[in-house]
Amino acid sequence: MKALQLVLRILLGAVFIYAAYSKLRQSWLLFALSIDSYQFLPEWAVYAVARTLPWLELTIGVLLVAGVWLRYLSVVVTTILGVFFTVLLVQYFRGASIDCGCFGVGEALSAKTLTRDALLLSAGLVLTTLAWRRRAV
Amino acid sequence: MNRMQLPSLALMSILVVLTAAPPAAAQSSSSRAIGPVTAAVRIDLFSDFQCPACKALHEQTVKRIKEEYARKGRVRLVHHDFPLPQHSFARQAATLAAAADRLGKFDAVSDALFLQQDTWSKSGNVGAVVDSVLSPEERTKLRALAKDPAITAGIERDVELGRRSQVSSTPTMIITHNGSPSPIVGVVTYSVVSRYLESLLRPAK
Repeated sequence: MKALQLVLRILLGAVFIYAAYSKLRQSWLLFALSIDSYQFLPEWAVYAVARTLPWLELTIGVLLVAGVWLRYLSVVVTTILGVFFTVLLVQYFRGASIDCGCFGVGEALSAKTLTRDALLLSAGLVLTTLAWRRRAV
Repeated sequence: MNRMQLPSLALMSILVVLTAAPPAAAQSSSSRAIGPVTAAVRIDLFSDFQCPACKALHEQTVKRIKEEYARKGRVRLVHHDFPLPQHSFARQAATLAAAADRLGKFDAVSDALFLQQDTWSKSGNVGAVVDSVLSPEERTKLRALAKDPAITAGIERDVELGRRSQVSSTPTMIITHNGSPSPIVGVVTYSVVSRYLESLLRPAK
């Protein structure tokens, strides 16, 4: 169980760091365009999310790899992944043609994108379960 | 295909295709390509006349980009047909719009096709919509032009270019600046695109 927890922690940490890197290496306005394509946030919120989300992802990724505050961090990670997955799922079934924005710009929302996010969410749920179970013993 | 999976070689090939070998339409005075070839920013728009998101992007954003940036020579905006297989009348619409371009009527025809998309998408009567913005003489000429195999070949070239540029969904705008292409999928608001374009066009300090 400890090994599984380590693997999931490193895996999710690496994914969050890569997601942050892919956004931070380009203009933040490109990420704003991805968020804008979802068409559910007002313009000021699009800019606010585009400015802050990559840094939040980077912080979470580094903390996951470092393995600190794992109980609470796993809940935060799972909640974020749950929000991402729900938004993508709703847009997918609405038939929306949007830019996922998951790892920078240019990735159209597809069944593949959804599957990947579902797998990451599952990993987050398992990590949360393991983190809380370990502490409870 | 996302950036994680996109090999850098593929990006380079897109760049070569977009900058070194622009399609024939991009080199003419066609309304499908507006703005100077030397513009610092190039926008390649892959669109399908039957796609509702393309209609939204055209009406909310592309028309304004055309007026505020392309016609003022600040960017080069190039329309590429990318009719999706699930849209039964998209290819016919693209053919008629391309033929209309040879009569200098691309803007009028594409505006009409998007405006009345709901109607012809159901009835399949694309010709009637196109005819509504043409004179009787132009209609006759357009019917003859639409049979030109070069029109079909041009659409095929656009589709092939889209595939090579990793376009899988419409609308997709590929914004190229300093040789670096950034694909934007879906409907985006004019003000956000405009802010991005201004950031690209701002002189480097």
